[in-house]
Amino acid sequence: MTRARLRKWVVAVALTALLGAGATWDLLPAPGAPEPPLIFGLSAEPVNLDPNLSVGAAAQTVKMQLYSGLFRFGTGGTVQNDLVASYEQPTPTTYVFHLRRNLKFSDGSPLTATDVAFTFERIADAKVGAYLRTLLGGVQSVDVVDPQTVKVTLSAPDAVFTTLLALPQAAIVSKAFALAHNDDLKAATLGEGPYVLGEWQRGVQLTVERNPNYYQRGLPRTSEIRFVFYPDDNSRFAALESGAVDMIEYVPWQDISAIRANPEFGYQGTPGPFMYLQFNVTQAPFNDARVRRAMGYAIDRDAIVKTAFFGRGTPIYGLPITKGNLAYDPALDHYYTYDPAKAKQMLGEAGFANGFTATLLSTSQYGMLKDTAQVVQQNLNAIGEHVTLALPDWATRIATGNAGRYQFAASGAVGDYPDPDFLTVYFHSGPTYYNYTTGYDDATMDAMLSMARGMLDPAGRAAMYGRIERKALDDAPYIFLNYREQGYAYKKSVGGFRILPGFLVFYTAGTLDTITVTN
Amino acid sequence: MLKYASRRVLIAVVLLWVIASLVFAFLHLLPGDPVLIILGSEGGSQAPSPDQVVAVRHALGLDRPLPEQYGRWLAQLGRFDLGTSLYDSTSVTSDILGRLPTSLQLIAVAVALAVAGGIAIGIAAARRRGTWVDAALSGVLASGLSIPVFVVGTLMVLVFGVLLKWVPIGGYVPFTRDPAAYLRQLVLPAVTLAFSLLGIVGRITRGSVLEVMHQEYVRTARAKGLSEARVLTRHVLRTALIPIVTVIGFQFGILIGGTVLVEYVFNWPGISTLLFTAIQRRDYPTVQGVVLVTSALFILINMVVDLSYAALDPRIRYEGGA
Repeated sequence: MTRARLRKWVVAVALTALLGAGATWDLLPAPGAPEPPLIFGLSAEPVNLDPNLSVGAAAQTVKMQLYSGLFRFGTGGTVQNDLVASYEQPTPTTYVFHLRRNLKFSDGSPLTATDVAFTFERIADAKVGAYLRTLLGGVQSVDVVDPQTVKVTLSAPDAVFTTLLALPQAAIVSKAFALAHNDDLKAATLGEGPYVLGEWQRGVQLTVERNPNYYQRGLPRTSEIRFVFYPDDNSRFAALESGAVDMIEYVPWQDISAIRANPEFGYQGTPGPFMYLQFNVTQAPFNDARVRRAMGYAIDRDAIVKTAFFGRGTPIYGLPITKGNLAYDPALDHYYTYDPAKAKQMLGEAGFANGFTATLLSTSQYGMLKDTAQVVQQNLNAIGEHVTLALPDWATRIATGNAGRYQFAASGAVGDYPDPDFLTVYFHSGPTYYNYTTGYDDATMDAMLSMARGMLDPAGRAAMYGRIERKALDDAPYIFLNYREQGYAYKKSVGGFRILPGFLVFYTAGTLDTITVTN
Repeated sequence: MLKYASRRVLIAVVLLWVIASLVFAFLHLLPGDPVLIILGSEGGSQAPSPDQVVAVRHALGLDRPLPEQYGRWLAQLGRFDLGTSLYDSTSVTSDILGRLPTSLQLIAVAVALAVAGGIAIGIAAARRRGTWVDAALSGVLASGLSIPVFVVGTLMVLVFGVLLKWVPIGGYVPFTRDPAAYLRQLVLPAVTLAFSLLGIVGRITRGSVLEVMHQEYVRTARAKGLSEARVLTRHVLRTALIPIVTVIGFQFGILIGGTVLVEYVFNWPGISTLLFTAIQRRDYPTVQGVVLVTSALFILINMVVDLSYAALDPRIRYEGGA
């Protein structure tokens, strides 16, 4: 290397260093810019944008800006009309929906009854993979009465039908657009929601812009939302603290206390999602209901809330049904207690005086599932059982669960809707699914769950759910452990945010259209 | 030289085929089913019906026998087509083309910083061997080697992003859109990545320079009255560079596809994150495509490194040519 070349090289390095140092200027956007966007720290990049699929909460948050359905969940969690102006139920199995006048998709094309009928067909089409296909399986026919009126006939009365239509996965799609795109709406989007898709910078951010054809006048209040992807919990929280984003979802539990104490930020959280043990009831030791019930007394729920959730949760000693729910029964709230001596005694009566040997399935991919499993393992080994952990990655956890190749598992979930019918996916027999008990198949339970869903009188339903709940707790194919808090944090410049309560917390994104951002 | 190069290219093609086949085999041996993930097990509580699983599997061609899937994939590769992602129907080639340059930019800047800093520190430490300067510099290099990159990264975010607010804590803006913002976003991840490389480059330089400094021709150079700077650049460094270049080439290759932690902490949309999420979701075409492309680059870089030896050391010549 000659001296001249060395000099050039030194200059180049110095320049790079200077550029790096110079990079610290003007971090903040120019003040006084009109209508600042809402910058939202999203916990993951959306997998795809097909509104009828379910591919995670982050994707759902974005899709809810682009699409609307016939109904929606309003603040407080009640089912409200969205695209329907009104509806009648002339018979228990018939619904006549009247759409609002002059509905348009974001490109200006009219939204008519034909699109609604097409959406029902699309959800029923197996190869689409729609999330609500089974739940809406009772739809017998959908008739276009006139461009603004749709008549839906069910095979049996369904107490949760309009609730299901308020779920974001029931969003209405454009027939013409879907057919033009070979029914592949994973990347191509045309909706009728408050926003339209702007630019999607893969791996970085996704922008949505105000839909000029949105049916609600004056909404959305903010002209643009920029969803920046922060899959790492610490980075997402740091992004809020540093001012890079206005708002984040999935506030990490360890940071909730700090953010609540900080006057510069707002925080709203709700218990909603919950943790539980699911049993493979076809294999020893959990083929014996006495052993499963003993688990209800053996687990220290407070310890789980403290270690896995930094205290941001509430123990469950019965079923995950809260006050305000039609099926809530305070007498069942403390069906179990934390009583290791009693658990030990019950296990002795079931023939496991010297302890049982079992593997607890969970995953190393999500800290909360791993931590919960570890507490359960400690609790059980402390009373003389021999529990080992299996912690594969998530995809393997799913495959193992679907094959029923496990004895018991520590899991987390959320009810899809606040109606007690959400219990159906937990307690009704059906194909083995990774998140649910393996092998629990009880004809009485199946019949009661189906009857309860078909009853349209609330008092009768409540009584039926009372019986279901007692049987569910007694048969114990699950032991529920605790609610975990789900929270959003935001700068004080963000106004009008209101979290949806309980199970509905993941649909909070449907209310972002009323948010304001001030400079 | 030409004969040597063409033989290397042929070997590279065979290597790539072996890699492609191994990746295909291992991926399909892994437990986990992309169809179930597509049907909602990443976020829903409703189980898909069995006929949905069958229909979606069929639509994606995943119900065909493995040898047939393998054959189809190889045929596609022959047409330079890496297929489409199972999740969002985008072409794997365009996904990779979107992500690879951002990774390469980050790696190139980090390697440049590490080389500049590492060689300077390595030489300084070697020249003052045994003194407190050497001890201090070696300490810096050792910490670069031993502190995990996510710790360095998180500390950087905390200090420069959250506390001092000098630079954004992460993210990416294309250079073409806003060069200043691009550079600001690049600083933290590049420095973080450079810090761990610095340890490797610095230590190799120190060792290599020490070895060369005691060679007789260096003493001769000093004896004939050359300035110390000239001795260092013309005689010491030139010889000492060979192991350094080898290490840099090797590290560069490892980093392509190996920067996932830095990308994750700083939200840098590179190819490692693409690979990481694709593996988690068992997105077969994407994993296969990324592994194949990064392997090809790795092989290419090694070829370039081998060829550069000849330029650095006149004694190395391939096949007596050149």
